[in-house]
Amino acid sequence: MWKTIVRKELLETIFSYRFPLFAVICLLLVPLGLAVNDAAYAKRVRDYSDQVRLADEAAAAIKIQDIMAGTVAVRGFRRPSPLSVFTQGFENALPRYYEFTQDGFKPGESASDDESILSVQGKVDFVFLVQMVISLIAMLFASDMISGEKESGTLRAMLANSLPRDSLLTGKIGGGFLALWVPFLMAFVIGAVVLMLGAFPLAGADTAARLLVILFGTSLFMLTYFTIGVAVSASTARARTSLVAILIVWAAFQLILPRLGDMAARLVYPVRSETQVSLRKSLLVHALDIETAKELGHQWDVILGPASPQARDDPNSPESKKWAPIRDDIQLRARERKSQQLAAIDESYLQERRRQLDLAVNLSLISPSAAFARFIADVCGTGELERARYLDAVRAHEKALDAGLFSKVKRTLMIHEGGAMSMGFSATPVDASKLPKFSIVEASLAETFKANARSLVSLLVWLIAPFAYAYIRFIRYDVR
Amino acid sequence: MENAKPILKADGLTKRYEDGVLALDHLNLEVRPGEIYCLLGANGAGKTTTINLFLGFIPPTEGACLINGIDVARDPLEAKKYVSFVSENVMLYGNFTARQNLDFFAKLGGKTALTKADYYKAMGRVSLQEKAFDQRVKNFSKGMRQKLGIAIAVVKDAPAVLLDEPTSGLDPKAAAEFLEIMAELRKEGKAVLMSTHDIFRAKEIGDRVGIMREGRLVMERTRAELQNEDLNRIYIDYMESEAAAPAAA
Amino acid sequence: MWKTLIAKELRAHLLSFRFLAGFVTLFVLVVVTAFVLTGDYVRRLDECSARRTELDRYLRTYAHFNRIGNVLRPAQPPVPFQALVRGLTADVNMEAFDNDPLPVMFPLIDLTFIVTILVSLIALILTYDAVSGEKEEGTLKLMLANGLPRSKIVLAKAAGAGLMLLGPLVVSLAAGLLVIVLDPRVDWTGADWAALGLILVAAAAYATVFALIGILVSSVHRSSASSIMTSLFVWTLLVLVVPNLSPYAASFLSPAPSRIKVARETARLTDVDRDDLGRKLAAQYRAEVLREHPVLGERLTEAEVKRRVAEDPQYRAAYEAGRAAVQRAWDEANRVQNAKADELRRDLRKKEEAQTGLARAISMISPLADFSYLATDLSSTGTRNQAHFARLAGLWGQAFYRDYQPRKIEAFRAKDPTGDPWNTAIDMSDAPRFHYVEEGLGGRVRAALPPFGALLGFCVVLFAAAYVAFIRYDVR
Repeated sequence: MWKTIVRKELLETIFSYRFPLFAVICLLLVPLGLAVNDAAYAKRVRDYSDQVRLADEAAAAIKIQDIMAGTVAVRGFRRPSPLSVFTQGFENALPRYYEFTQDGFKPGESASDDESILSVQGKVDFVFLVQMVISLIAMLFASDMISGEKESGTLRAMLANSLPRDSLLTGKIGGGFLALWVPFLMAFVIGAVVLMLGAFPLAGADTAARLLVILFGTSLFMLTYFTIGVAVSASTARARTSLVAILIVWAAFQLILPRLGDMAARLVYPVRSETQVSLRKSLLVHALDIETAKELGHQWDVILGPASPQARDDPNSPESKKWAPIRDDIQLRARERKSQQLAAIDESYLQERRRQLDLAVNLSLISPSAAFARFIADVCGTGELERARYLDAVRAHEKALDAGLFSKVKRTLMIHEGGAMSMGFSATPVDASKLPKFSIVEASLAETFKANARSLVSLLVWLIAPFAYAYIRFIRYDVR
Repeated sequence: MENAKPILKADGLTKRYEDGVLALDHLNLEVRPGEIYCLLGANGAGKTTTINLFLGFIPPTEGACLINGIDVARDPLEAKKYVSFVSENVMLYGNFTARQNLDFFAKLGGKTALTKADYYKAMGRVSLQEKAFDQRVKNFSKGMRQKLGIAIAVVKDAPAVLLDEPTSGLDPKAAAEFLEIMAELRKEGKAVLMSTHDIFRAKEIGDRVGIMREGRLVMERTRAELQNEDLNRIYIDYMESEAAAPAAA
Repeated sequence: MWKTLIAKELRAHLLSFRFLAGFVTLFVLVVVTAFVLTGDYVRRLDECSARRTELDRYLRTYAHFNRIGNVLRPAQPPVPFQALVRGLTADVNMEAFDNDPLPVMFPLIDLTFIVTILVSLIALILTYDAVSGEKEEGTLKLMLANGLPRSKIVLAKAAGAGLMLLGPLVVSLAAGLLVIVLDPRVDWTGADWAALGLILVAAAAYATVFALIGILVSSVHRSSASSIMTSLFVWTLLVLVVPNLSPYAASFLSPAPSRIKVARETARLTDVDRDDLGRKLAAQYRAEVLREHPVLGERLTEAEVKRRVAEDPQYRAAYEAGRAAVQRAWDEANRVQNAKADELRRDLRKKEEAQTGLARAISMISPLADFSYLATDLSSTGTRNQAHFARLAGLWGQAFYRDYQPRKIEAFRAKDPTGDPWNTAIDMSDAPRFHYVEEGLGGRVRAALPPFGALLGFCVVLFAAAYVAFIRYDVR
C-alpha cells in the first residue's frame, strides 16, 4: 500500500508542470555555482602561494638592524579553504593575513577588499542556492500536497479505500520528496564532477567525508522544508491559503529570523566597538611606555649620571653593574604591568562581546536556515570555528615570534630630567630561517559536530516537529 | 436476495454538527446483496452526510453504520475493504492516463495482482472508448470520467457500491449505459446505494427507493409498490407536506 | 465603468488573507527595521565622535610622520539615510566584521531589502491568479458575457494592483519614518526628504513591475496552480539569481587584473625599486656636491658635525647643499617610481570601472538591481558615494601630503637640522582634517535616472505583454 502511494506521488510530481522547472534550476545553477566558485578559489590559492613565497623570502632576509629600527613586520597568511566552493561563509571576510610587529599584531586586508564588484554582489554559492532557492521550491511542491488533493477530491477518493491515514501521509512525503531529491542528487554529482575537472583538491584528508556530510546535510535540510510545507498544507483547507502561508513562513525563516536575533541581541547587550578598544589600548601602552621611560631615565641619571664617560661605556664598572639589574627589573615589571592591564581590557571587552554574540546566535538558531548555514560553513572551514581558530593561531604565532624574534632585541627608551630622550640597545643574534611557520589547526569533523551541537539540535527539532504536527493535523483532516 | 444479511446497514444513524445543525436524524436503512437502493431528496436533506458517514469521513453522533457487519466508526479500515465509492464529479489525477488512474486505485483497493489486460477488460466493460485508455484524464468529458470511476469500482470488486449523484450531467446515451452497468452489478450480487435527484432513472433501476427530508427518511417503497404510482408526484407531495412522518421500516 | 471595476478589484482583495498577512508583515518589518537601524546610526555617530577625540589626542602627543598614514586614514562617517538604508557599508568592512560577523552570512534587513524581496513577493501573491483565478471561478466568462471590453478589464486589474500595493507601502513607510524622526539625533535635511520621496516613487514602480509580471503570467496560464509556479520561478530568477550572476558574467567578459598583483607590483616599484634608484641618484648627486665642497669629505662624529654647523657658516652652507642634494635624489626617485605605480593603478582602475559598468549593465535586467542602485545612490550609501568619497579622500590626501607635511617638515628642520623629522613625535593638532560632505541631490538624482528609466521601461513592456496575452486568453 505504502509503495503504491510513494509511486503515485513520485509520478504525479514528475508529470506536473513544476517538475521540469525545478530540474532545470537545479541542474543548471548548482554546477554553475560550483564552477564559478572553483575558479575564484583557484585564483585565491594562486595568490596565497605567491604571497607566502614572497613573505618567506622577506623573512629570511631579516637583519638585526631592521629589528632595532622597529621596521620588521612578519606576515602570516591564511590558506583558503577548499570547501569554500560550497559556501563562502567568512572566507572573503577574514583577513588574508595578519601582520606581526614588535608592538603586536594587526589584521591585513580581506579578500573582499580585493575583489571589487564581486564583493558587492555575487553570492551564487551552493549553500545560498539550497538555502534560498531550493528551500522555497521544496516548500512550494509540498504546499498543495494535502490541501490540493482535498480541493480536487482525490483525497476523498483515496480514503474511501482501506488506507490508513498515516500510511498515506508518510507515502506522500516519501514520494514527493524523492521527486525533489533525485534531480538535486544528480545536480550535486554533476557539480562534483565539475569540481574534479577544476582545481579542487578532492583527495584531501577528510574531504570525501565532508562532501558526504554536505550532501547528507543539505538533503535533510530539503526534507525539513518539505515537511514544513506539508505541515502547512495539512493545516489549511485550500491550496491558495497554503501557498500564502508557506511564502510567509519561508520569508520569516530565511529573511527575518536570522537577522532578528542579531538585532535583538544588539538591543539587549550593546557593546563598544573594537576600534574604541584598540585605540584605548594603544593609548594605554603609550602612557605606560612613557612612565617606564621616565623611571628608567631617573635611575640612569642617579646611577650613571655622575659617573665618568668611561665608566658608562664599560659594562664591568661598578656603576654599570649596579645599573644593569635595576634596568632589567624595571623593564620586567613594566612588561608585566602592561600585559596585565591590556589583558584586563581585553577580558572585559571579550566578555561583553561573547554575551551579545551568544544571545544573537541562540536567537538566530531558531531559524533552521541559520542553523544549517552555520553548520555547513563550519564543515567547509569557512565558519565561526575557522574564525576562532584563526585567532588562536595568530595569538600563538605572536608569542612564538616574540620569543624567537622580537625579544632578541631590547630597546630601552629613557626619558631624562628635562625631557631629553635617549635609546639604548641590546641584541642577541637571531636566525631568521628558524622562525616558526604560521599555520591554523583545522577542526576535525568530530569537533565540528560538537561545536555545532545547538545548530544540529535546532535542525533536528525542525525536522521532527513539523512532521509530528502534520501527522496530528492530518489524522483529523476533514476530507469532505 | 431478500433474506440475506444486509451489506449496508444504517442503525439509528444520527449526525449533529458542531454548529448544532441536525443533519441526520435516526436513519434506519438496509441494502442487501443484489439490491439497488436509490436515495432521493433535496439538497441538504442528508444524502451526502449519509454517504460521508458510511465512508468514515465523519463520526456519527449516535447510532452506527455497518458495512458487511463491521461498524465503520470502530474499524474503518476493515469496513472500507468491502465498499467501493463513485463520487459525483469523479476525482482523478489529471496528469495520469485512464489506465494509470485505474491501476493506482485498484492497488489501493487491495487488488495488487491485476494485469494490463484486466484493466483494459474493466474499461471495456464500462464502455470507455479504447483510445481513451492511454490518454491523460484531464481532457476527459464528464461521461468518460464517470465511466472510469465505475471501472475503478468494478475492479475493486467490493460487495457494496456507494454512488453519489451518478447520473447528473450525463447525456441520455451515457445514462443508459450507466443503467446497464448497474443492472450487471446487481446480477453479480452487489449491494448498491445511490443518492440521486433523477426520479426517472431511480424508478427504472431502483429495487427500493427512499425519500429523505431534513435528515429523516420519510418514505420508502419497493419497485413493486412503485409500479402503479407516480413517483414524481409522491416526491413533490412529500417535499411540500408540513410534518413528514418517519417511514415504516 | 472604471470605478466599478477598480472598486471590485480592491474589494475582492482588501479583506483577503493574503493581503492582510502581507500588509501586517510589511508594517511590522518596516517599523522594527527603522527602529534598529536608527539605533545603529546613533551608535555609529557616537563612535565617530569618540574616534575623533582619540585622534586629536594622538595627533597632539604621539604623531610620527612615518606612522601617520595608518591613523589618519579618511573614514566614512555615518550618513543620516542609514537610518533606513544600509547600502554598501553593510558589506564587509574590517571593523564591522570584528563586531558582528553575522552580516556576512545572511542578508541584512533594511528598506531596500524589504522592498526588493518582500514587496515583490507580496505583489506576486496578490496578482498571480488575477486572470487564471477568475477564469477558474467562472467570473471572467460572466464579465465578458456582459459586454465588458477586455482592454478595460486588464487595465483595471493593473490599476487595482498598483493601488493595492501603494497603500500598505505608504502606510508602513510613514510609520517607519515616524520612528526615525522621533529620534532627536537623526537630522534629515530637505535634500534627504526629497531623496526619500523619489525612493518611494521608485518603490511603487518596482512593486508595479512585479504586479504586472503576476498579471502577465496569470494571462498565459489556464490554472492558478501553474501560474504561481511560473511566477515564483520568474521571481527567483529576477531577485535571487540574475543580480548575483551578473558580476561573474562581467568579470568573464571584461577581465581586470588582480588587485593583489597590482598592489604587489606598485609596492615593489615604490619600495625596493625606489630605494635602489634613490641610492644610486643620491650617490651621484652627493658626489657632485662633494666636488664643489670638499670639506664635506671629512669624517666627523655626530656631535662635532652639530658643533661645526652651529659655528661655521661655510660648513653649514656645505652641509645644507649636501642634504639638499640627497633630498633631490630621493625626490626624483620617488617621482619616477610613483609615476610608474600610478600608471599601473590607473590601468587597474580603468579596467575595473569597465568591468563594474558592464556588471551593472547586465544586472539591470533585474528590477531588483535597478531598485538597489536607485535607492543606494539616492541615499548616498552606494557605489556612487564610494567614488565621491574617494574623490574627497584624494583631495584631503593632497592637502595633507602635498602641502601640510612638507611644510611641517621644513619647520622642524629649521629648528633642528640634524634631527629626524620622520620618526620624532610632532604636534600635528593643526593638521587638515578629513571632512565628508554628502554629494548634492542633483548629482544623485542624475545617477538614479537610468535605473528608474529601466523600471518604467519594464512597466511599459510588461503591461503591453499582459495586454496582448489577455486579449488572446481563452476563457472557456
